[in-house]
Amino acid sequence: MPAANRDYLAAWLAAETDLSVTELTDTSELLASGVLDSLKIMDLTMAVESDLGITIPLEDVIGENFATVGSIVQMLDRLQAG
Amino acid sequence: MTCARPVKTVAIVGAGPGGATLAVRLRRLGYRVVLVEKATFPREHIGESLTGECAIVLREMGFGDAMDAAGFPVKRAVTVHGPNKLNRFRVPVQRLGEDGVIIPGQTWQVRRPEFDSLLLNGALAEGAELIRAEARGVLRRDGRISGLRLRDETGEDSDLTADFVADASGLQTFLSRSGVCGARHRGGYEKQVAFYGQFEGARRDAAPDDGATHIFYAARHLWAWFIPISSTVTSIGVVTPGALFKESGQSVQEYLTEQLASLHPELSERLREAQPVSETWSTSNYSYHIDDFAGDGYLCIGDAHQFTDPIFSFGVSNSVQEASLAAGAIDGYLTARSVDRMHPIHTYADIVSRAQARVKTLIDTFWEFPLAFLKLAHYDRQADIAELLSGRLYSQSAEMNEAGIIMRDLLAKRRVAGDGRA
Repeated sequence: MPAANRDYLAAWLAAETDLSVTELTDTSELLASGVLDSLKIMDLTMAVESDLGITIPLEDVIGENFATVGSIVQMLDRLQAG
Repeated sequence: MTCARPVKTVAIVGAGPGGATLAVRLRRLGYRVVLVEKATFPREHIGESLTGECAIVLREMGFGDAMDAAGFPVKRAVTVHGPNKLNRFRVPVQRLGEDGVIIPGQTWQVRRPEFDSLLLNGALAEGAELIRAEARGVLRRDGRISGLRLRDETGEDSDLTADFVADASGLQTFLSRSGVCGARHRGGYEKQVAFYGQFEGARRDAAPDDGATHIFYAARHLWAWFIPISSTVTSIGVVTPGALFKESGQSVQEYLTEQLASLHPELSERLREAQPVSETWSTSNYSYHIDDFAGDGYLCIGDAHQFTDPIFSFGVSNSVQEASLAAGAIDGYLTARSVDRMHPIHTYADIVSRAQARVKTLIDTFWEFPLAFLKLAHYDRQADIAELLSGRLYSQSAEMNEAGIIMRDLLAKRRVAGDGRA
């Protein structure tokens, strides 16, 4: 269920960052805007692993995959479909 | 049983840390050692930070007390700062304690004129000879290397006969330039150049971390070092892709000043009160490696055969470790204990090539997968990365290092995807 990953991400962002869920769109800039920094990305990869059971392999731990809400959801969906 | 055999001579080109270490080791094995050095020591040199493993080798050779007495800052960690302020990780210097448990270690930051003189004087005290001359080429007899052709300060030429020639000439890459080694491969890391100087008043970490190295990076292959070299003086430099400097149209001085102000907010903050106490130096940091760096009657150590982006301060550390391995290989070759005289030389080349490949894997992963590197260094494989950054690259344990294997696989996947170079 693709929507589940998006909902999880929205909740995580609301809890862990300054971003409010009402502002979220798929093209919301997360890296360029500074909502996510590299340490937050580390937190997110670990949260995703423990909460969703999705392991993000190292080759996917690259800036492009964490640039926007859409790019993160797309990666999670792809890895889940795996 | 002792058997009298004529004392054999090893000629070493270059009397820096690698050459001096090799000289000490070979003297202790009973060889006549002649160091050939064209510079008058003490002389300036870049590369002030040592690794934990390097400190262990120096102590094992008996230099520990002299190093402690020299008042070099103690380095317990390196902190790497990424493009934004929160992206940082600290890697402690570690060593293997008894029972193989990893415990905190330490090493030194050195003022190279003093450090290099200290090692060279140690080699001379062991009975090594020093010839102040430039090595101009090799002598050959029956196709095999039989010594060096020298030219002294007055322009006088002479020949030095030797049973073995070791190249510790650093960036001069003497044996490569003399046509003895194989092909020279250049490239990678965008033809970096380095600009650097010494500063007083730079803000350090609180004791006991006041001797810590800081590395700041802004973009691919663009980074700065911060290395305390005395109680008041800090060596600070910027390494940059050559093209960025050219495009700027600035002088060396202007470029360094601007980069120190703009490269990273924490660096500029640490330098707010800093004043330069040296001129601004520059050097090309073009990476290269040289094939066939060890063969019949010769071998190269350290920068004489490979130079890679110096971001993790492996320069002196690798030279000293390779010199230690080289002493055993040269001894094996000259005493022909094994059936195949070349076997020790091939073993040396193999161990050194593997270690240098590890260096490249580490640095390539750092630049190509900065987030993945951060994840390994800060979370997944902290101890493994600390082990590698402590300079333990030549041992069996390095071969088994999980982080090393993970990084190699990661780069291999990237290459399969067609985006990288072999």
